Amino acid sequence: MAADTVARSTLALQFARFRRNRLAIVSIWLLALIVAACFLGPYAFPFTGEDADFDFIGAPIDFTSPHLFGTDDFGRDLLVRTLEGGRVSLTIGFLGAFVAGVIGVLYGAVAGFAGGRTDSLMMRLVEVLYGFPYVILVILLSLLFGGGNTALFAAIVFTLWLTPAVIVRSQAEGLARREFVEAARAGGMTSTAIVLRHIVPNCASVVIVYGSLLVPEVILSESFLSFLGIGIKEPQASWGNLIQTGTSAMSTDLRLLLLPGALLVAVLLCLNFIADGLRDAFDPNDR
Amino acid sequence: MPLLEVRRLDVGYLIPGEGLFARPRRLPIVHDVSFDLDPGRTLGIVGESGCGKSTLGRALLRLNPPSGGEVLWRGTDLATVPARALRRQRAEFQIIFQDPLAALDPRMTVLASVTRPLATFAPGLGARAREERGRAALEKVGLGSDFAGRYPHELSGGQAQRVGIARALVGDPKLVICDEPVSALDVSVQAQVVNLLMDLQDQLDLALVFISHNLAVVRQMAHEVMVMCLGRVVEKAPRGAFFAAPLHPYSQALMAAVPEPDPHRERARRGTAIAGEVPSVLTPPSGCVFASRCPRAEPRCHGERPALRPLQGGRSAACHFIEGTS
Ligand code: SF4
Repeated sequence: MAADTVARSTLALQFARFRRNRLAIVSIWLLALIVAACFLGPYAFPFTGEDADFDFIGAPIDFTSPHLFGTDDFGRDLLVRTLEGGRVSLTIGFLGAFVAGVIGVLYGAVAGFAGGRTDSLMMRLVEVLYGFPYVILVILLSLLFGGGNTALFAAIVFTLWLTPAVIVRSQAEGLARREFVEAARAGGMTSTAIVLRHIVPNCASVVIVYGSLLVPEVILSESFLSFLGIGIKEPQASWGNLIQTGTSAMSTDLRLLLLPGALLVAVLLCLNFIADGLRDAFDPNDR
Repeated sequence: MPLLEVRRLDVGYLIPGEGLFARPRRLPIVHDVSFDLDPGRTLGIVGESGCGKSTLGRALLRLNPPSGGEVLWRGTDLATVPARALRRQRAEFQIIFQDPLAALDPRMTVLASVTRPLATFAPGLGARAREERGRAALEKVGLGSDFAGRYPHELSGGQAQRVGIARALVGDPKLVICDEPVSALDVSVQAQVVNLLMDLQDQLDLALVFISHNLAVVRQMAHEVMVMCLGRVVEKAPRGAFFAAPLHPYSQALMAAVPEPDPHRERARRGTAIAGEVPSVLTPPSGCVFASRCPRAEPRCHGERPALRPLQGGRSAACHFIEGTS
């Protein structure tokens, strides 16, 4: 047997296992399609989502007209607005999850690795922040940064790094007691290097799974925050504010809610299936 | 000058005090240990689990800092070496562990684990040269190049321990602390690893500190034996003299507790395993550390701690009823 067939990394095995999960694979393709549509789709139209077309105000769904899914009360094309909103929401979702994830992972890894008093102080801080009233936090941040995208991003990251920190900390605590950490110290590694090279990579599976659940959470909190009035502002579209206008008109006209709602649900489902697939692939007890 | 000189070493752990802002307390584990070790020699440290022998082993390498006394490495007190220089110097004194699989990062290949320390020990070395030294170290422990790309979960316990030894050897150490290196392995594999360590010692003139509760293995490997009980040295003797006639009642009890290969004698032996309550490290006895279990204990033993006194033949023992030479 050649050395490289023997030497299949645990990671490679896990990805082989992941590939066998049909639902997760379909979800990845669908998600890629939605992302591509949101980022490239708007260029296929001669108008943007902020251009009003006064010949078509509140136009219905009509696949023969230039506005396939109709327009809103200002004559703006709903399909293009939804795609553009997706660009904003997906960017915030992935970026927010990434930043919150990185902060949480590093914080948790350091706390769990350090242990003792450093650990209890760091985790006490997390508890305090957990208990901080969300609405007050949002108000504070919007006073600090204005109501714009910075405040939105800060509010999202500020609340969402806490859970990954807690999860990674408990993993790191167990890892720090393993003898390979002591071996690394005996091998002259600094604590920083040990955290980055040994602790964080060994938390990777939990982090990837949790990270994929974090993305929908960020997208949802963006919608919620637009509801509180910070974040993406009209006329710029986001799935959050599109759905918000959609729901307020829901009783008379479902049309406004349909497209952004459906896409958001599709993305959430895809990410959940992918997270499920990753969890199964990474869980050693499952086989 | 000996390679390693240990002078009245105390080691303790910091344990968190009650409440968030309470001062941490120091829990003493090892008391007043002294010994010298020369290149090419093996010191066997024996004792029951919890006697502080592993803690002592780690303190020798400053993996946990001593709370008193000093460790001189080739005449220099390691406490005075700055952190950065100490990390470099760790190449000279290494450690191998009891659980060889836990001692390897499950996400790193064998070669990556073995070459990792070179990043600190030989920072000028290119990737190519590092890999060569890693492969050479694997060769020394009898692992061919097809092991280089494997992951820990693809190794047996014995193979994993060989990887651990290769990692210890990669920086050309002078001293290797072996912390129960064979007790987690199958009996058939134990002998191979013991022989490997002895061969390496001959080839490389290594000094070894061999920590074990397995007297048979210590008898095979050690030049000198040090017996510890509750963090204190109770007897120290050259191997031959020690195994011919252990003097301290605790050493005798340990020896009697070794399983006999002969089933009849094994049955007769059963009753002599060390009976009685082991005192907790939290409430150490004020007298002899073995007093609660010693068959020869007298009232004096409970009140007064016997000092470790030198005896004839380069031995020493800590018991009121063993006569010193001086
Ligand atoms: S000092 Fe007393 S208790 Fe301790 S070993 Fe000697 S006889 Fe036993």
